Amino acid sequence: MPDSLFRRREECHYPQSLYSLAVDLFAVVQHWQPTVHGAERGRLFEAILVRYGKARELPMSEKAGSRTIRGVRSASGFMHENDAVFAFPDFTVHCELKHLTTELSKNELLIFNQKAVDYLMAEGRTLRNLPFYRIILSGGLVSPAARRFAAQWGILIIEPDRLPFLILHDLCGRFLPGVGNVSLETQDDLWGELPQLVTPLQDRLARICRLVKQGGECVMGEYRVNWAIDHAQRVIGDDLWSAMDEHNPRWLEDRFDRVSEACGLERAVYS
Amino acid sequence: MDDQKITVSTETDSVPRVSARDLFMVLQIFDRRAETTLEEVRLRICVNREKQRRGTFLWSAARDTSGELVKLGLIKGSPYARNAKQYETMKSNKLVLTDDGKELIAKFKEDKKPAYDEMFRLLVMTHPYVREFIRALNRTDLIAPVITSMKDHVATRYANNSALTADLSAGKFETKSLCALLTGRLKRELKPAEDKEIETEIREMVSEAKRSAVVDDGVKVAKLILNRLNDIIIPAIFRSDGLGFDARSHRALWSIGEDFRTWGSLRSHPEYDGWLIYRTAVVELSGNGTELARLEFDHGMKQTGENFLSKLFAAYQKLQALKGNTFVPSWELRAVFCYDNRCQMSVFDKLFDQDYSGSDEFRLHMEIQRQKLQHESPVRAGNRNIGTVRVVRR
Repeated sequence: MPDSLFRRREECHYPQSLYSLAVDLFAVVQHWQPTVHGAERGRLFEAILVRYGKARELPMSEKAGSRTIRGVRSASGFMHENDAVFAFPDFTVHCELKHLTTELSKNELLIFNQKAVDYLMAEGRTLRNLPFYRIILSGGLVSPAARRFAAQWGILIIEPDRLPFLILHDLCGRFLPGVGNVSLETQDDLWGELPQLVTPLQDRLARICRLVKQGGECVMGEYRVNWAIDHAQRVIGDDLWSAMDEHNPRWLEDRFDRVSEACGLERAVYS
Repeated sequence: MDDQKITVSTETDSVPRVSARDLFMVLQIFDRRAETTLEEVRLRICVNREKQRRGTFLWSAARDTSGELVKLGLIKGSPYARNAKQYETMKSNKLVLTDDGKELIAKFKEDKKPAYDEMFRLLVMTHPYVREFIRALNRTDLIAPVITSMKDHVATRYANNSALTADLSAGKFETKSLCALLTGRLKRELKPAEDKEIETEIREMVSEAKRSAVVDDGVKVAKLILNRLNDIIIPAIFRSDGLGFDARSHRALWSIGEDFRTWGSLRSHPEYDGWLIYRTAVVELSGNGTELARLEFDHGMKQTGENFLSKLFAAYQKLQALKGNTFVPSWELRAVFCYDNRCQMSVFDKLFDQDYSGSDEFRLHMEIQRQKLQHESPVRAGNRNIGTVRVVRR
């Protein structure tokens, strides 16, 4: 687990509980084996997040089917449905859960993104003032276009077989033995770059506004996004993941076992 | 520790981190067909542990178990994936049963005991570290000062995590206090080389831990430090015995002894502040030291079971004199008994469960266990966990 390593960097870009949430959810998408199919599988996936929130005593303010975020209705009046919202005292996390056999469609991503803007425009000062993070938790692989869209809008995608940006960031800031392929300079570069790819929505909107008003560089250039997804996540991410495996081959399995035990996932699987 | 000159082996080895049960379980896959794949081994382990998972769950268990069987010459193939990604590319690799493996399976089906002895013989022959461990254990019992508490094993002021984080962020650590406590726990002075190694490694640990001490919460930092300290102390203490590998490998070796009933490890012996590792069988190496020459189980169920209650009474009296209480903790009684009679904890557990109702000569008074033990399996009598015991002669 990343938190079993000493820190190399002192500064904190994200709250610790957000890192923990990302590792736990990644362990779930990587190792949870659903035994039901179709819509039932999606519902079970949502139920697992609710159990997880309860077991970890996380401030889950909204669960699947709710129409608000932190108690705030959308500005437009549309009754958007939300899968899960964690209302931490100092930030908000809006989660979208998908466990599909097909790829996540463009419309679903656009709707998820637009929903957040709709809520942010409403009369909710707390919601507006606190960093608003978004997570797409996918049980299957996500398309390259969806990954690019997420990076452009600062959304964290958690999918199987790819180390999520947040875990990658955490690892780059720690002493990880046996990462011969990834130099400290590269790790430092990523340490600075990754917080540009997973950001609160407010930061992204502010940047877009600056861009519209003052011109200048685009929010996230194509090369930058492609490098992050195809090189940082795929190549460097795999190297760091391998180093973690060599350090402790059961790091993710142990994490899953803990989540599974806390949430009664075995019961969810076998019931 | 005796003062005789110890020749330190220069051979390198990896300590097998697998259980005997898993080795035989995987070997039995080959009973039906002489050829299988690494992935099938993984799936079998998942089924055996009742873990229905997707991805490469337990890939390292499949690699370690198959890898060990290859080293022992029981199967052929290349299962040595370094990480989960490499495992993906190697999972279809064929594993083929050898003639030796076939023989061992046949032996196992006939009678498990000689099959276990044969597996142990192979482990000894294959692993220099196992042989070093046997040599060390034949010289003396081992005390492993495993560090489980910052307050009791490092420094009293570290009872407070903020004292620890304050020290670390200032680049300081109570190394002197740790070494003084180690001397007491080991019941001997630290050798200069041990002292030096511990000091150097701790200095490095402190420089690495500095930033975590500033950012992370104290509990997390204390946990990280405890883990790291064990990886510093255990190899340093055992290096001169040729056992200078990390704490996890030591634990793997201790549990191998329990699997094969050749040595045992105790955590709750009241006279020792640490893990006590002791022989429970006669294990002798050949003249050139590369093979097992003698393996004799002289402290099994039969031998230990003779006059069990009078032996238990002797252990109780010893513990009572140490503790001064009429009722003594059952797990400490078990530790004293096992060490004095050189038997495995499992042997004690079975005998205690058989004889807890006493005899004409001895009577046992027991209280139910109130608190769940963190690091010890409970002593059981008639489906109840026993907390304290009093043994009286009628």
